[in-house]
Amino acid sequence: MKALVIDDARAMRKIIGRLLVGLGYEVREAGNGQEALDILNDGYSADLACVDWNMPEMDGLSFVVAVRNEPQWQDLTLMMVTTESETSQIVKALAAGAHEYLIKPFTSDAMADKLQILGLLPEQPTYPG
Amino acid sequence: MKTNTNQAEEFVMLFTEALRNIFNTLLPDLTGDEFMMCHVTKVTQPSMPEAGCCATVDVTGDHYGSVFVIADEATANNFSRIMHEEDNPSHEDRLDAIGELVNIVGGSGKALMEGENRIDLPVTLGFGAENPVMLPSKADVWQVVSPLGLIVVSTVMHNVTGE
Repeated sequence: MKALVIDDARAMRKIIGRLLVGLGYEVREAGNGQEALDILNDGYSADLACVDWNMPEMDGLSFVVAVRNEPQWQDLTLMMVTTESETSQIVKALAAGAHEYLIKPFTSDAMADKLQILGLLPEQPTYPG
Repeated sequence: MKTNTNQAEEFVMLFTEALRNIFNTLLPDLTGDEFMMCHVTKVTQPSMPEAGCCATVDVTGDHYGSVFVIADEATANNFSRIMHEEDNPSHEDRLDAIGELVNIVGGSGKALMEGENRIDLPVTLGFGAENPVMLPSKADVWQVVSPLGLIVVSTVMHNVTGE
């Protein structure tokens, strides 16, 4: 399975990427929503996108809206991974088309639980470290 | 607009609690180690490191203000080593790690505030003898003795609604 990790902080991209690689994912990274759209437009067929909310150039919510407006990306599962934890924000993201919501700071178990709910967890996960 | 000592302490405790949460969740998961609890002390005249990384994030909405996280080079390096999984992180890596730290601390603290609030993107800078870091004069400052080194957490925060 392929994942796209979208976060303006390289540290967080690495952390999420490490977890996903440990779960058997192939991972590509983007520093904001526009970079992520460019990667998708180049033909990267991701199964999952982990999307931060607050990013320069194009934020996570705008990315979610842009993806949901493109029929070719309807199979892409979108999971917000963000510090924005108010109920109103979660409702806004889900209404825009995000499938799941993971609040930072999170654990690898929390990430795996969310992927299991989404049906995107390989059968035998192994965590790095 | 309303701000008082108790409210200021309440704000900074929200942010230091968020910092503790990072040591209880994210970092143990990345390293496989258990981290001791942070020890938090309010200070009037913080002993600022001579050189290191400073990150700040602004909160706007029903509350407005800023949150600062300041770490000396060694502490920033410790965070960066874990978060970037690099034995020898670069200065940019250290800034990036402390920037994400203030993002998580600011975001978590904001979530515990009443009303509608937003956080801006973190801003980071390195500092040293020639460009020392200066906090706002009315900032509340707390020193956090963490397992990865000394961190200074500071806030200037006001409740616009006066509630």
